[in-house]
Amino acid sequence: MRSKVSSEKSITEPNVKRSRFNIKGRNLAGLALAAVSLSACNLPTFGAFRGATTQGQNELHLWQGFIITAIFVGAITWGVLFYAVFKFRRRGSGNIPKQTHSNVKWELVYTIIPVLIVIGLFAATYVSEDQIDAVSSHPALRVTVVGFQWGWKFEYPGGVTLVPNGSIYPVLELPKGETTTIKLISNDVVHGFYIPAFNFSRYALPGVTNYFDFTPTTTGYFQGKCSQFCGLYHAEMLFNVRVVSPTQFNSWLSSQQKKVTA
Amino acid sequence: MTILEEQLESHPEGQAHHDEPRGLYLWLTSTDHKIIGKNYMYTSLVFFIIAGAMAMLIRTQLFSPNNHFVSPQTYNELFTIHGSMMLYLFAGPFAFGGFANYILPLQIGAPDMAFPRLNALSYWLYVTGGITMLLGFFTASGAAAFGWVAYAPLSSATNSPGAGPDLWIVSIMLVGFSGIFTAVNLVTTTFYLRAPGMTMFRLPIFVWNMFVTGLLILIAFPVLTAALIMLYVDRHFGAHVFSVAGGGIPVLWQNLFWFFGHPEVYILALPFFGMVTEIVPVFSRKPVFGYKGLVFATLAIAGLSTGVWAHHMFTTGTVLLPFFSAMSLLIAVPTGIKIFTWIGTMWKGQVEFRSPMLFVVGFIFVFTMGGITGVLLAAPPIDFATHDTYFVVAHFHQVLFGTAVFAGFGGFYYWYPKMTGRMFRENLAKLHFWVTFIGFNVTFLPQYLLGLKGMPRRIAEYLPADHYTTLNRISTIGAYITGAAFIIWMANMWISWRKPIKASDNPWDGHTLEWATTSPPSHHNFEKLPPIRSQRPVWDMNHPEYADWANPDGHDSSQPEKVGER
Amino acid sequence: MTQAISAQSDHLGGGIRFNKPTMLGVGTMVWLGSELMFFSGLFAAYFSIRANNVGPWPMGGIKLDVIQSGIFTVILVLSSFTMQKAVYDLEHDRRRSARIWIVITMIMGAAFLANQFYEWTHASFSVSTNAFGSMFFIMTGLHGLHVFLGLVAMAFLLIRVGGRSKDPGLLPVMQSISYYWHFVDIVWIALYASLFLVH
Ligand code: HEA
Ligand code: HEA
Ligand code: CUA
Ligand SMILES: [Cu+2]
Repeated sequence: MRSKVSSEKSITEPNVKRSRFNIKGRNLAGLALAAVSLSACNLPTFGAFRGATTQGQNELHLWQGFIITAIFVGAITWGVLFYAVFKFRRRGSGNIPKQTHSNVKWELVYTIIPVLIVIGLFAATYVSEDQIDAVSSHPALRVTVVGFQWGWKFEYPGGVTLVPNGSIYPVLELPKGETTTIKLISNDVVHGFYIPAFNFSRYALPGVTNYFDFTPTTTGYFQGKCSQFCGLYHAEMLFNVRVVSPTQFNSWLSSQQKKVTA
Repeated sequence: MTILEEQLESHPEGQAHHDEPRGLYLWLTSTDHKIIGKNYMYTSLVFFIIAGAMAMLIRTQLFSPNNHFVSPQTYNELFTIHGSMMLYLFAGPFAFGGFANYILPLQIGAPDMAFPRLNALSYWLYVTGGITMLLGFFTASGAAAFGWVAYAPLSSATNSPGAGPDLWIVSIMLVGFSGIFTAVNLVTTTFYLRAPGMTMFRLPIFVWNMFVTGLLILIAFPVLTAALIMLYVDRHFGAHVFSVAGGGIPVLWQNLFWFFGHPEVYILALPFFGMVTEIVPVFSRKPVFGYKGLVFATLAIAGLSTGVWAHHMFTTGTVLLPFFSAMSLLIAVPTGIKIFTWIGTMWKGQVEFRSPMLFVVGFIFVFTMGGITGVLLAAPPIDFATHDTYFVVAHFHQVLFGTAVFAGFGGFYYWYPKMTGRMFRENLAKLHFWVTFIGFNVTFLPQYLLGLKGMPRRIAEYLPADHYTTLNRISTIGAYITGAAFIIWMANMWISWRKPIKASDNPWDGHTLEWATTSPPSHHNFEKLPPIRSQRPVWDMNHPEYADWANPDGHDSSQPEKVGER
Repeated sequence: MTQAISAQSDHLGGGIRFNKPTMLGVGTMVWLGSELMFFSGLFAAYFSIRANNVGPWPMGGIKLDVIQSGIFTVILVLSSFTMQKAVYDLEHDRRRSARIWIVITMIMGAAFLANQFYEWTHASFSVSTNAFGSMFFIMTGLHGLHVFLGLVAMAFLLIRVGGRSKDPGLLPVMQSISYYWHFVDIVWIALYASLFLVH
């Protein structure tokens, strides 16, 4: 699945310019797929984060495809609405218009076109979701994340455990360019492990263990939050994420591991 | 089908007393569907104002970062009860208890509902349930504070102790029973009490929508009741249905809740779609465009809506993403059919912008956007990025406020003359619309951006460093504008009460049977029914030269209609 | 509600039509549809918990008396037939006989409830033992409540059947209660199979 998509990508790449200018003429169903493969990233983000992981960027492309489709659909619907509203206003007393009950041709048009759009959207979703949810069997790093009322605990190999310390939120350290598998659990209530800049969230559910991958693409400092309501101090259940180079990461981890043994 | 065709000209129980009840006691004990309908409407509007006032407090708290206008505990209670009250006590009962009760029997030419006393019981269960929910605020530990969805195990006895949550559970059960009984009543009434000539495919779309909503209620609410009972037993008798400890499953609650919860949002939407489908043709002077398509779309929405619940659980990691995503995306198709059908009805019509129509166009505008952002959320990867953020809050206010408030007040103004025999002041109604429209968009459009910037929902506070402040301020100001709009509405009602202008029996040149009787209708509804030979008997009567049954050229082959049938 | 029936059967012109459901009958069936969904919710919970469970079922080494409950299951199933006999008699205006059969039905229903009470008080586990225990007591309890309400309805019915005057609303009430009773019966068969027989 994955290889097929990336080859598709490389084929469309040289055509990026052309397809962008031809957008109007294309059929809408194709548009969503096209936008997904337009990974050139010169499309606007439409308010979303760029996504600081490969998974997050994948999401961004899906989002761009969806929002462009949405704008099209919205513009057309609003367009005909306003046209009808202004064009067919009753002026004066007005005669009684022709009493049309139905028009099978138009009814089919406004049924079939949305069906086609939906099929296109679904295809794009399916592909993207498959990639975002993929969990590597040989990640460079495994971290266990525990959500609790009201904080986060990060467990690294070698007994390194990070927890909130007074008013200081714990920091999830991740190596850039490498794949980290997160194991997410909760022992009390449902929490939402949410990193906006990664375009990703997942529940920490009691009784369920969730796994997912992050492959950060940029170094930097990001906010993390609890998105699912979990009681009194839900708003304060924050953490931070720091993506550093693999060498920096390794020296950080070994210094932490030394602290554990000391 | 034989039952459907059976016609009964009966006067059920309601016939027993012939006079309008006078005095408060008689009013309250009445079993007349019109009085019960009005009671539902007044009560639900009171709950709307209370829940709206809570929204004002919520928005005030969010006006500034690190605000201490209310405590976190109070904030959590406020949004829980705001959401619960708006959904269970306002939007549903307003349409399904209020409008359906009042209008449905009139539109099918029935003298009353099938089971008038059951109807009165429904109303009283509803009022009791509403008061029960509010009582939560007066308990020692405060009202329920787990959101309108009451996720386990946050709603367990250890995590949410006290009487407030119990009152919430009981309240939802009472309101649920009330809804189920009303659904039994409306479905049976539609089956059994249609006037001669009113075949299923001549039912006004409003009736169709109420009928389908009734079926959805019968499917969805009992499951919620079952879940609530299990939750209650968990809380009070130490059961383990939703706790990991004894082998139970917390996420089971989410599955049961959303199996109810998603149909619920269409239970809230379909009745208002029905109102819109009454208003658009009348103010366009055309029949409903694509009647059969609309009926089909309504059934399709109901059918699909029972298979999409897990789109609220995409981020649980426990559900089959492609299936629920596909089903959710598909719902866009029948909903789109509805939108285009309304536009098709206006097409080449004589569209007149009286206040009901203004509200309805506002509804189509707002709902289209909310629906489309729903489609965005239906893609799991996009939902991963936006779940439980203000993006979702913006989505559901656009669809909910769009239906319950824009379409709902459109219906309110449309039937106000029929229900009261009075007119409201048209200018004030239009002003009400424009202020609401502006206030609403100023409130909720910024919330899409907040959501994309990662602001989680249900947070009592945010930090200055989050950079959410400006957008939140705009949103709060918008909320105040919306609040002001409803003061205009109240003023309009006050004036109409103190200085009445009499309304005629058929002020809008309506199409359906309720416009064939007096305003307000007499106790047994009709002195005389016009012949029912099409979907628009009153139109046929008033415009014989354009009557549907006499004018087959307006029809195409998809709509065979035999003249003189029955 | 009873008044609604009498009003409604007036326009049936006194003549009884056995094959067409009355308005009350339609209403009852619609409502039983919602009851079906109610029990479906419980079954969904039960089977989710079972699917989630590793090891033998019922969990926690719970043992149930399949035979004893089976006997009372048969009794409840038979009570549907006695109920139908009562309906048949009333349709043919044999009130005395109808009363007798209603009483027999009630006795059988009461016997079922008595056994349930015995099981509840002698069970080796409770609602808080584990999730199976919880579901067992919740499901049998809610079903038992339905049986009990059926008995209450039959008690009122009995009084009405005993009435002297012509009572055109009686038959629809009788029929509706019989629909309800059959429904409660069928639910029990499913419950018995799921709780006692599934391993
Ligand atoms: C009236 C109520 C209502 C309605 C009608 C809808 C309609 C829809 N909703 Fe919404 N929704 C809610 C009320 C409603 N919703 C609420 C209350 C929540 C939050 C609950 C909570 O967590 O508290 C929610 C949350 C919610 C979520 C979960 C978000 C999250 O928590 O992460 C999702 C995800 O799929 C979703 C999807 C949809 C979809 C696909 C529709 C579709 O039915 C929309 C269909 C309509 C259109 C698409 C517009 C018109 C169509 C056209 C113009 C045709 C052409 C269009 C295309 C081909 C795209 N909704
Ligand atoms: C039909 C449904 C409906 C309606 C109409 C509304 C209307 C409004 N809602 Fe609500 N809302 C929900 C359903 C609805 N809401 C639900 C289901 C939730 C989720 C709850 C949860 O998370 O569990 C929610 C949550 C919710 C939140 C998120 C809280 C959080 O997650 O932390 C916010 C925040 O801005 C909000 C705001 C508003 C506002 C400003 C209005 C306004 O448009 C209201 C306007 C109406 C009035 C103001 C009433 C009339 C006013 C007067 C008569 C004036 C006099 C009074 C005063 C000025 C005090 N709502
Ligand atoms: Cu943890 Cu919200
Ligand atoms: Cu939904």
